[in-house]
Amino acid sequence: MELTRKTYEEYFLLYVDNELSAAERHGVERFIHDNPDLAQELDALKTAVLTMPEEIRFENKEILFRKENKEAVVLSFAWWRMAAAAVVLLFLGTAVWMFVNLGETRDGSLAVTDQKKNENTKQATTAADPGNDGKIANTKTEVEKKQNNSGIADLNQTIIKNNSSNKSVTPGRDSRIDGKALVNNNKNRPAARRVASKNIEPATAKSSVNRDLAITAEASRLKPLSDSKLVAAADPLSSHTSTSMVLPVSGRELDPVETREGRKGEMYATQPQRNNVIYVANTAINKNSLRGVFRKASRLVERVASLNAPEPTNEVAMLKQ
Amino acid sequence: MTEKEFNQCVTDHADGVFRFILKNLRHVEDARDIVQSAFEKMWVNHATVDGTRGKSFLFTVAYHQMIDHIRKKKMVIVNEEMAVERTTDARSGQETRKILEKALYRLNETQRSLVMLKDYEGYSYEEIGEITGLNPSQVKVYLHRARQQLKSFLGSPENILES
Repeated sequence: MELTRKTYEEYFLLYVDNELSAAERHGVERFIHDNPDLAQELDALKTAVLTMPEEIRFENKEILFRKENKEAVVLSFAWWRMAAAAVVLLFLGTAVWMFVNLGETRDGSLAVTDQKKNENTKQATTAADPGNDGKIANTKTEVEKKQNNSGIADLNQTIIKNNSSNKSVTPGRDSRIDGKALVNNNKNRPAARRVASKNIEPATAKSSVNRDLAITAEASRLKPLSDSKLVAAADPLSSHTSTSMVLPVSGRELDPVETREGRKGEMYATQPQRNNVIYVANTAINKNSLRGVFRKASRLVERVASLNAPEPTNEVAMLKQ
Repeated sequence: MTEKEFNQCVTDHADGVFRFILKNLRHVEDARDIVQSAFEKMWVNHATVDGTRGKSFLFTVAYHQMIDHIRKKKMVIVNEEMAVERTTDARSGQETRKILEKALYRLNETQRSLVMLKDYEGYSYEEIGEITGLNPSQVKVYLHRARQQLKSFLGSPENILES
């Protein structure tokens, strides 16, 4: 449609409504220039255009803002998932229970196993340490006595044989060996202690393998050549006494003089008998972190039980007599 | 439309929509309610609304809600007889504006909405047609009629405004 004096009205409205292209707008302006009498018509239409009322504003616009809520993911926990969880828990619980029981069984059999090993080792030891096997065997024998007194007679024979071989060992070397042996014997402590705590009165549980070693060694020192005394100490009636003695030996080396003169009433391991201790660090022991936890727990129980137990009596005098 | 686009739409167009509705209804609280309702509807549908079409969607919703509101309240805007305007050469811009607003309320609601959408928001005929549900040709015709009425109200030299 061409812009003429007949069609100008629509062009003027389109011009006011800003619906014309740039070229068309220029055309309208040229038309007005050429037809000034129609300029007033265009101005009147321009006046009819509303102006933006800027003063009108939506107050408190913040109420219109929105924030997306992240919907929480809800996992359906079907019955079969519960069942699977129950099975897993049951399996784990059973595995732990079996593992614990297995560990205790190993501890209980450790003494017997060690005794057998020590007997084998006794055959292969050098001339300087012939009595060490006997010492360990003696210690293990005491543990065995706690478990089963019926085998005492055979074990005493081993003790006698070991004590007789102790005479050829020098004191200096024995002291060194004793210190190491006491440390190394700590590894056997849990096994022996656990056996003791099961089969012997609570006071006995307090004693350690080291103390058992000291006791046994003292028994040998008091009557080094007297087999009958050792047999008596290992006698089923007196075995309880020998295993329940609690002596202040804690891995340190004892002075034989002090032992003989200052503490005659007490029994300490002396050098001639200390060489009865051998290295047992190569003993097969079940080591793992879980077992360590149970070991600590058992120690705690033993400690608590020992608090309520009566003080151990000094029954060494009975042995000496 | 994302959350960010929606909130940006609030910042950019809340005033314009409110102005458009308020100029039609001349009732502040009703206008606020309609604006809030329009934004709420846009938020509910924000997942399906194109982020670039937020303003158009907003004005469309607000316009139809306003029409419904007018019909529910049976608001009858009396088409007062066009007063005779006496134009004077010395009439100030402020006076012209007041006269124009008075003339605006003598248009029917559709014409008034078309004029405001065109003059306030600068929408094209096509966009106004989308908002109002009219085709662009109808928009053009209705708008031209409204504009001629306003011009006549304002400008005829022989008419006198009795304000």
